[in-house]
Amino acid sequence: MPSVNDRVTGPLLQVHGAGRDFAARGWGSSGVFRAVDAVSLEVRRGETLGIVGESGSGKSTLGRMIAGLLAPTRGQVLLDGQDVHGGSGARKRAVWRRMQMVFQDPYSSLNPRMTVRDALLEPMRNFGVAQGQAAQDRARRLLDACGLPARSLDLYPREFSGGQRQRIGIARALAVQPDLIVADEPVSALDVSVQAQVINLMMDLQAEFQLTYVFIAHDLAVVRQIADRVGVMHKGCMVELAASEALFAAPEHAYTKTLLASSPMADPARARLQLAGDPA
Amino acid sequence: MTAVNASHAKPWPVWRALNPSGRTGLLLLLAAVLLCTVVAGMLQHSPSTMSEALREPPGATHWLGTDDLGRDVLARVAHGGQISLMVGTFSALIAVLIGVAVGAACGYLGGTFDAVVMRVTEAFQIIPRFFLALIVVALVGSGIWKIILVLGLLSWPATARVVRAQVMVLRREEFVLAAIMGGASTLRVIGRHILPNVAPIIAVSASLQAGSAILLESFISFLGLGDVAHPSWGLLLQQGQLFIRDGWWISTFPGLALSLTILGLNLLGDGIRAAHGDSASTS
Amino acid sequence: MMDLHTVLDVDDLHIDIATPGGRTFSALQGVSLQIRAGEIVGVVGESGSGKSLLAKSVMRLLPAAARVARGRIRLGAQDLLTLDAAAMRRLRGGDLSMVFQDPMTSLNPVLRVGAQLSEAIELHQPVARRTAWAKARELLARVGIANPAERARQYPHEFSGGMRQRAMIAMGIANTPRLLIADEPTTALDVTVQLQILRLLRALNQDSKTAVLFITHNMGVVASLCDRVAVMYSGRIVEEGPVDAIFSAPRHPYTWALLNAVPRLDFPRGERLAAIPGQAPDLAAPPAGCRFAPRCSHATDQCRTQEPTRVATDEFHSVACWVRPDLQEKTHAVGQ
Repeated sequence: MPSVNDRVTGPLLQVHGAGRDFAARGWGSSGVFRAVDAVSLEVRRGETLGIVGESGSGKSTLGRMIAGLLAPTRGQVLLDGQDVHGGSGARKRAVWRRMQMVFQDPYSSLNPRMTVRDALLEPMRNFGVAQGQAAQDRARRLLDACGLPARSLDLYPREFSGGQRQRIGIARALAVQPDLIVADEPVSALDVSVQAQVINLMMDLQAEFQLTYVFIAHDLAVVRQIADRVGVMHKGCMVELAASEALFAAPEHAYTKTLLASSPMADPARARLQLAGDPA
Repeated sequence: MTAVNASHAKPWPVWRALNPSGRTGLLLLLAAVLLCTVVAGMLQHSPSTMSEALREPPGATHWLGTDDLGRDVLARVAHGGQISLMVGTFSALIAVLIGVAVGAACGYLGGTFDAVVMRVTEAFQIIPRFFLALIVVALVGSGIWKIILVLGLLSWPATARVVRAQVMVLRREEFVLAAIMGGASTLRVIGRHILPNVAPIIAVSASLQAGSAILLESFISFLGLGDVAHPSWGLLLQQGQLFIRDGWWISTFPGLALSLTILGLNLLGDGIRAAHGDSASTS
Repeated sequence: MMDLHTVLDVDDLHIDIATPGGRTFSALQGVSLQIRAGEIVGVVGESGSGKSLLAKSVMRLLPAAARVARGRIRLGAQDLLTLDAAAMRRLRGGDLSMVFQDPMTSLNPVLRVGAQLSEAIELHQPVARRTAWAKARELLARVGIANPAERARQYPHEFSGGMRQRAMIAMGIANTPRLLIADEPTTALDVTVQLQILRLLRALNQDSKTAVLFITHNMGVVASLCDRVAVMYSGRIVEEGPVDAIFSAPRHPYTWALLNAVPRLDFPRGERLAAIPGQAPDLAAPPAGCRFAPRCSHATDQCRTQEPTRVATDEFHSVACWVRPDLQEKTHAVGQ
């Protein structure tokens, strides 16, 4: 629903025809592997854009291009009108002041040799967001907002479970008060009984801190819960992009339909029907 | 079962973290250090005092016997150890400092820099260290510090390769990406995030480098190019070789000390690798 | 009381694990499970539930630190825990076989797929090499791999993930096992491929009446494939019964959580998800009483002090819970 405000302020994130190729190396093979073909999308302030796809769809590569970690081979990524790539180191850092990332693997997204306190304080110091006592207070408040006790500050990551580590990763991403958070499969590596906690947390934080999310996942049910709009990736192309409800109720693209039809459902009657379906 | 692994903690369980062979290595090393420091200071005899008790076998007055100039063998072994250990320590230090700097830079920066520097590293590795060391020492002289410098400068490639490999893996880790996005400068990323996680590998390399430097220096000394003013175990071996038949103790004890110390360093290195190999792969 | 058609009978199994620190903790406690001929039984649980350990103990492939403290495992009439190594080897790959999770690492990368399959056949059947290869090609066809003759001569890296898993299943059924154990065989696969593999397993089960023990953390997969399901939490089976009964009327709060405290495509999209607090307990320092009690909204004092025993609520359905609340009404996305 476009409004006057949207046209005045513009979308927070714009991606114009972004694509990424990799040199295909291998035994006697040469040429180019097109991980992402040419994707265009927009994300408005305060909304959540979900990106779903299976392995090899390019969704993670797209996520890294959006986050500024991987330069696109073609096309552009604009954060509030500013090109995310192709700038000096200082420009890149200015971008990251406003855009952070939450990673997939809770066991490798935290430095095992840094306390939680240091992990939270470092970006604050690097960006000059807060110093000294103010920074310490901010760290405590962030942990609290993420459902962790203050005593976590002096512990090392190994003392925490997967779900707790993910919360720490989210707190770290919030440390610099970003506008946009790119979440690359943030709950995929968690136990199912913990996934709902983290999804709820992210939704609460979005409201509390006026965040905008790009939420990448392979699990359709997860994306449907949190996303306002959803883009479906298949072999490097975005084959469909629609409002969440519309996409799930009435998918248009054949691949989206296949994806929906193959997703497991915890309803025995429907699940057995799904299994009986067309022979593979 | 992740909570169970919390015992991979820090304190003094360097001991607890090591497997039996690693502990043996640590003990051997500590024994050598003790011998060359504490014991050396407490000895009755001095290493350079000549006496009339020529080539006396191990006995009551001279526990490990005397050499052909009447000098106490135990004292000579203890003081010779100071030299050998010093060689090991400082050569390893030089090799590790250069190796870490080169390895971290290559691993992190990649690209042309990495390609060029690695070719230089390989060039160093192709030349047999031992012969090059001999030639250099023959040219510049046998001062102990010159030997230490030469050994260090010839040994850094091994450390550089190993550090580079680990840095290349770590720079793709998510926590490193997070640090980069958190505004950390390249130097800070390498120093604060990557290298602390390479530390166990560096420790292993340092241990092995020390052992190898001690061994190399003893070869150099054995061939007569050692520093006579600072006799190391290798030099004692060289001096004792003439008397193998009727003065076996003159070379045996230095040889034993040498072997056990190098063995200790190697076992310790393997032990550290085993202890951290596990915690690196699990979480 | 052994049913003649019982293929697998796990009776009161307890497994202890020794930690590097020297202590021992209990990873499986009093696990009892029966599988009848032709049944597909699902074991569902999260990390630390012990489901994989259960599978490995049936195959006697436990890690060195694990030890069977108590209990019995019978395959048909044979007591698996008392068999010697040679007898166990004869069983594995023959009457009893297993399919693992990671198709990338379960196949030997330097051997052709056909060679691995025919080796599995030759180890258990008295046939010549040529016959074994022919059977290998047949098996590849049976699991739905096109051009089996050509594919048999290829190496694993030339197969896609789904095809590798099919090849693993082919190895699993090569010697018509009485029981096939599948340990999260589709977890690492895309959903579209997963559906194909599940269909394959269902077809194989229907054709040859092979019993299947299917380990997973995904309730949707259980719903489509399994006849019965056992829900595991922190080393114990907390609920067990026919899939229809368990899914429509769970009696254990953890089962309810697995069904309702997760995002579901077939539920209306609510404001928030019903989420259970906390996480699974540390196996080395479990809470007193029911291990789920700290996270359970129905927990009573008895729950916090006494471990519940498994009780039959009707002929086929059993639950380990003092409260056994009536959780039939599904609450979708409750606002907190």
